Amino acid sequence: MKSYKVLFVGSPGSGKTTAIRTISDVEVVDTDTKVSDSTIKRKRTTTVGMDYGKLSLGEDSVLHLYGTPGQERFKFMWDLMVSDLANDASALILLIDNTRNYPFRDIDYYLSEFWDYIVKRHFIIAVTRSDLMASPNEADYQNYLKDKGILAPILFIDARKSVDVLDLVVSALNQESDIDWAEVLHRVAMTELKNRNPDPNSPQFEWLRKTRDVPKISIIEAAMQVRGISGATHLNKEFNTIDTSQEDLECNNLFKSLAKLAAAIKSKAPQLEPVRNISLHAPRKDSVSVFLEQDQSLGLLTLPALTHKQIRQQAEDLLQWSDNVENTQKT
Amino acid sequence: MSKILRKLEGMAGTNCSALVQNSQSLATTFTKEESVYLKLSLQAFTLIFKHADKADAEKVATHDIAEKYDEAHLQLGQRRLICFRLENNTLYISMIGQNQDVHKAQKVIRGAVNILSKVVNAASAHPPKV
Ligand SMILES: Nc1nc2c(ncn2[C@@H]2O[C@H](COP(=O)(O)OP(=O)(O)OP(=O)(O)O)[C@@H](O)[C@H]2O)c(=O)[nH]1
Ligand SMILES: [Mg+2]
Repeated sequence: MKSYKVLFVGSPGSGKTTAIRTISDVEVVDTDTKVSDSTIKRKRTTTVGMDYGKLSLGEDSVLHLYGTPGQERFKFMWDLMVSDLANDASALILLIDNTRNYPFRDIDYYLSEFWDYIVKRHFIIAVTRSDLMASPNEADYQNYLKDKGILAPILFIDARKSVDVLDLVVSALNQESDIDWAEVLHRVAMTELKNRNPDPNSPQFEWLRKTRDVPKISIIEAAMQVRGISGATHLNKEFNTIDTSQEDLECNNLFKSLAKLAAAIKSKAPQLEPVRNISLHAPRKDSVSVFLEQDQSLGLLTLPALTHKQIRQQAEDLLQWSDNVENTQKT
Repeated sequence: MSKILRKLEGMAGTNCSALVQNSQSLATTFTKEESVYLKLSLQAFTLIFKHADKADAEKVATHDIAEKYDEAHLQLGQRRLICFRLENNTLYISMIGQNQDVHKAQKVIRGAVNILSKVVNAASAHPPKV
């Protein structure tokens, strides 16, 4: 019996679990639980363990599908999978959610996190959810990778469609000539057809129900649900308040001054990288931080116990998901 | 004095650092290419603390007089500059790269603030001969 492995990675909600479930022959190990922290455009369930699925590729070969949990707090699983379970995988498939505010930043992030792993394996980028957000488009992605000097196939897929996911797998295993892909495709398509009208008492039905879309909440509401954040203000490009947890928050003016200062630095030193963050700390005082993007910024007031990294992760995540930005820029 | 800075950088995991008093550099390990970051961040940090003190001053009416912010960060792309306010208008600015542990650097430098102040005081009492 010949066995192949591929590993799916990508941001929370990029469709790793969906993709693996879509083509797996076996019931997928379910480690999804309700999301407890901030949710904006985000879905309600997230993988806390790992995803695993299996697809028979014929009489004597089988494909094992592994997916990492997307959230960074389960990062220990990434190391574990890379060094152990999926160490002998032949390809890494990076799923990029096109509805994120800065999808290219996700590419950078996963490239740097998985670099050692990627260089030794096939590497494929699959862009999901482009039906919900058309830009950036395929050419934008190609140009971006070209600028970075990276050679990788880019496929736009819908992770809910078995044919799309199978395309990815074919591309990942393209050096394997002895697989009868037509047979596999036929089988996968038949299973999908059967699953399309699920029995209301079946586990699939429960799963479909569980992952339906959820109402949106604002970036500020989401921020205030995070433990350790005591105040939050969302500013637009012109440094006007879009939303705030408290109109008379004392540091609101400070947030604005710092955001303006960042813009001033950028215009003064355009040759340097742009300012991404300014923050102020003291041992017994709440920290004041401002995180800046071209089109928006987020000010956070946080307990002194929260580390810089924790604050930054929260802020970057919130800015990726904020829904009040025009999606015109590409990075 | 740059020997002390080098040692502190080693412990904190920072790339380079400088002690600046009244906008005059007392000691620096920033290279010539990196000095643009020192210059820029020095101006920025001076303004950042000014804004912070102003915001605090507006609060004093309603709160007990609290401590001042003594630590500020400026992230430029993947580069991070960390600044601590010491006594006598002195700033300790250090630069840290992308994959370094910011939390560790903060802790180590904060632990060394008193020593740095002493070094600065000693240096200004006996200015080096030129
Ligand atoms: N409209 C649309 N929805 C998609 C597409 N791909 C996936 N989805 C949906 O997006 C959500 C993705 O969720 P998951 O598959 O749980 O994402 P994940 O990557 O496993 O997320 P974590 O486990 O949190 O890391 C599901 O509700 C899918 O139905 C797509 O191409 N278009
Ligand atoms: Mg998942």
